[in-house]
Amino acid sequence: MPAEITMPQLSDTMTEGTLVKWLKKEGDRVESGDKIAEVETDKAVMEMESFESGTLAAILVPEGQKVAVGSVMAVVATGKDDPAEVKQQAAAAGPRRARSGPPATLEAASTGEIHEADYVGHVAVATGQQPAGPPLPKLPENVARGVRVRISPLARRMAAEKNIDPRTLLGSGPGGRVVVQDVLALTDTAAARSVPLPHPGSGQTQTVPVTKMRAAIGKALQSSKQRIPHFYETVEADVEELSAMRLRMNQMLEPQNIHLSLADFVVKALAMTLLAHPALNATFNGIEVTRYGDVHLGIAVAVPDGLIVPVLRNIHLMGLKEIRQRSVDLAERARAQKLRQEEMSGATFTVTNLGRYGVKEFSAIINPPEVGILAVGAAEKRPAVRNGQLVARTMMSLTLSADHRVVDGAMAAEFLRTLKQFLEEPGMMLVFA
Amino acid sequence: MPAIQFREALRAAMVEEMERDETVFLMGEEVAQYNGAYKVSEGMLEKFGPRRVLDTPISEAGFAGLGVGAACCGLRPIIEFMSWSFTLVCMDQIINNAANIRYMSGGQFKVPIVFRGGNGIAHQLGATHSHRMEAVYSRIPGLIVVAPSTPYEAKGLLKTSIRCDDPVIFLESEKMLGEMGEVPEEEYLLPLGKAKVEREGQDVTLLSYGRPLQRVVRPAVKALSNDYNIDVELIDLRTLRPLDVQTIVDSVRKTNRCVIVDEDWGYCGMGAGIIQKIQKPCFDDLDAPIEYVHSDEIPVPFSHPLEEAMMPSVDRIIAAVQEVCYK
Amino acid sequence: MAVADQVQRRPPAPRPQSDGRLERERLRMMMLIRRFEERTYQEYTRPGQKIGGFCHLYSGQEAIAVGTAAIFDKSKDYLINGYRCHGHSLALGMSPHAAMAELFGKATGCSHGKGGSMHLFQAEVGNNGGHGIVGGQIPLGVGMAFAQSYKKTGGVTFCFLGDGAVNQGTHNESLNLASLFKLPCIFVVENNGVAMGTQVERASAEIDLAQRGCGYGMPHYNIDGNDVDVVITELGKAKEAAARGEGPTYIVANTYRFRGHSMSDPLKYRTKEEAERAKLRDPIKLYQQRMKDNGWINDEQIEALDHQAAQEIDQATRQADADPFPAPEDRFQEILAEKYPLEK
Repeated sequence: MPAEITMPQLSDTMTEGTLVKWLKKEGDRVESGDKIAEVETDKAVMEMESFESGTLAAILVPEGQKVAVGSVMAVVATGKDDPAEVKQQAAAAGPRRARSGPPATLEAASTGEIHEADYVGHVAVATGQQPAGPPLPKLPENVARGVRVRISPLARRMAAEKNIDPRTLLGSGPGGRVVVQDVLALTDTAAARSVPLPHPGSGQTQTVPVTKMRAAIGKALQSSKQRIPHFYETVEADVEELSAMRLRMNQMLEPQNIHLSLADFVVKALAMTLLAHPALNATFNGIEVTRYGDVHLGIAVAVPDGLIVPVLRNIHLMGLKEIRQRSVDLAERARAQKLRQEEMSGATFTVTNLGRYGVKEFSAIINPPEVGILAVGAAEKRPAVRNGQLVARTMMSLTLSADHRVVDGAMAAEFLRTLKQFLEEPGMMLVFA
Repeated sequence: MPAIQFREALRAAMVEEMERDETVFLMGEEVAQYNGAYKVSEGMLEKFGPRRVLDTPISEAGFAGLGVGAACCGLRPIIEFMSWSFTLVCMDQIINNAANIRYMSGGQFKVPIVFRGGNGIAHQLGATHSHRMEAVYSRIPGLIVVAPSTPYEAKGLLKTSIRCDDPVIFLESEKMLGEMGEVPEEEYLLPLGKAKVEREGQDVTLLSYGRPLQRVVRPAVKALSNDYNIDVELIDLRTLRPLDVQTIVDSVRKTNRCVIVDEDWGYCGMGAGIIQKIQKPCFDDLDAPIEYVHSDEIPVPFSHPLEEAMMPSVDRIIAAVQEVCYK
Repeated sequence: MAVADQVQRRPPAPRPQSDGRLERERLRMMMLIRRFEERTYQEYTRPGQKIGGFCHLYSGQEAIAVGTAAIFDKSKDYLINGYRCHGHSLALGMSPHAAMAELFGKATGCSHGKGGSMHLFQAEVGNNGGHGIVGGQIPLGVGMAFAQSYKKTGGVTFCFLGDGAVNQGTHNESLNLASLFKLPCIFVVENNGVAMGTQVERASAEIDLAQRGCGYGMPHYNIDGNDVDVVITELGKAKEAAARGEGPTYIVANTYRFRGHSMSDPLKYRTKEEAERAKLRDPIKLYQQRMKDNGWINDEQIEALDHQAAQEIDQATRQADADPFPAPEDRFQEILAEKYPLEK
């Protein structure tokens, strides 16, 4: 019997995806598990597998087309099916909802209407399916439910031309309708940054509209800060030795073209610390705490007009070289909006680092359902007292934000003490690794 | 260019065409000895004599049908109705006969006839005499429907209508007959089925025709430009059937917004039909729904303030334009 | 009781001197029309419905159409009609094939399949059509006469209507206009006694329909519509008067419709006896008898004429049946005479 290949639902909020590229062509033999296409959701590109073996008989959706979740994109002739016959039947039926499969979340899939989640959420929150990581608590129903984007036809067309996801737009028209000026405002935002502000003293003002992504981040963080009783603890680590060690190591690694940053050491130390303190390597759904034996670390990356948190999975198993390479790769792809869905989901803890901006110390907002976040400040020479002497040492401030519903002050303090120890005596990491 | 009255422009068109073509004649109630109920045909009896300028009894079905029969047999009648409202008693002659004979005979006949007269809400004529008949006739395959908005359009369009080999519904307004406008002294004709972009603009396309164009649309456009900084592209449709869809679509694709103004009732009204013609070709170019400013859906009241209140106003047009411009 | 039986105000016209050649042609045409209508009835009622829509048969009234054709000048006269128009069209020379093909909705029909049974036109002979709306054609006829008068062609218009149309408003307006403008228009009311299913006496307060032509300043009278010679004589006089500029005449030609109003008419409104009596005055039978009396024809020749008519109709019907329907895209043709935008 011919098997239909449908647009998978890659997250709870996903209502449609773009068929980016077919990796097989009509007539190709496919085995179960073969990658047959690349599919793009709003922020990620995924490779899609065939669940059937047979001949790819018919491709119903051209590359570049948006497809509603559950719609048939291709048909595989299996068993004794005649591929030509299957193709003919499929072509006659055209792209359509699957005969069976995921329940429709799209009211008008065939009309090409664009739908949105009314809650995009902080990037790390807006995740659904997780191939390998721990399961996250189920999203509230209103988050999962798709809501139709109200958008004028012109705005819709222009957004498509400019490759803008309409769901990221904040509608200024009646009833929140996205109109063309909203699209133009978004594309003008980048331009607005380079455009000099109104001449000082001229009394002029400049209005920059809030993008939908910005609004979603704001909403998620506001919710976190309002609902979670944050508390903060800061330690100062002496990273003089670590810095010197890093310089020596980089000299030795230069032939291999590896250049470790201080942040890589911090991430490594943090992973080790989390393994030692599973109370912080946890998520909390309001009812029960889930602690994890593996560390999937979310690393906040600034992107134009927003924030994305790619996840380094199983970071506790990685050496510094791999951490370096992986984190550079993730950050680059985050800025290019090329992350796959699973690369942005399933973190057990998050780290955010403003050291390179010279920020001494700061406190971050927790990324629910995680229970803690570490804010890393700049490593800089500060006066310190060593053996009764005032000396200049390379110091770094680390601030933990924790959810007081499940983490107490002493637990947090122990966590920070371990972290400080790993940073000040890096060799200690070898003991536990 | 000399400025003349709308009625003089109509008369000039008829006189010129009657001088040019022996088969053209004028027939209607009070067109000859009375010199025209609204003085459009003043002096024409004297000029052309009773063979070509004929008074009729009050028999709309009779003389409308007479005109159609004569047109089938080689004449070019101009049939004047005192009011288009009166054609409610002779629609069979216009819709069944004028519009259909060519088709039903497999093209054996042509019907070169012009029906003309005052259309729409004049002044306190009450519900029976204030009908706006444009949507009724613009629905009919086989008819051409023309609605001039200035003396210039009136003359040029009427001359072409008289020369046209198809039946033309020519919609004037009693209230416009005294309006002045510049008309060239030399002969000219204006095309049927071609709208006129009267004012180019960037922000919104405004469609209208006939009397409302002059009465409220032009003042509204001026106010929108002066007081609201909205740059209107104004289109005088001129011919309602066949509608010049291309000119409208080209404009809406530029401005991405459209407001239609007429004095018809909204439901199944002229503007509703125009929307049906343009919404699909313009769909992906629209940033707002097409707005339709029309008369209230009530019988036309007699009392002056009530009559004024039911019709599209400058304010209503400005509000509609602001709505589609999100301003 | 049909008015035809009651009103006989005019005596039959004296018989013209003749060798019978024209008369035989008239008889042939009457028999051809009868055969055409009977075949139409068969084709209409045959399963498969080759003829759709409304269809009104002329059987029994042939003398009026054929009598009119006898005095009709195809170079300048016009004829306009209601929807019972098959007989007049054949009498004015339309081929049975063009008529039957139109009934079948074929591309070869006289109106290319766009008119149908009620709308047979043949402009080149002055047959300005069958018209579907009762009374709707009367003002048109007046306008055609107006054109003749305006252009001084010397032609006249025969404006046909049924006894039902006299009760329409256009009847009043048209008679008045025609007389007011002294137009060469001859109104011929074919009174077959029934408007659809309503007898004249139930539809008209004045049962003498000729009186419905009074009040317009024109001659108005009844004639025997079943006698082709009477039709020729009386319409001929009216035509001469019109051509002299004396204006219109209103003639009620009393006759009888053998078939129902249209194909769906069960004829419940008249008795068998009435129909039998009417058949005694079958215009074809009457004319055959007169011709035999004058020695212009014998039974054998009549038989041959009938056979010939039947053959001709059969051949026309078969040909029409084999003809193509109009191409779907033809539906957009012949609506307007001009191309738009129109610049002149």
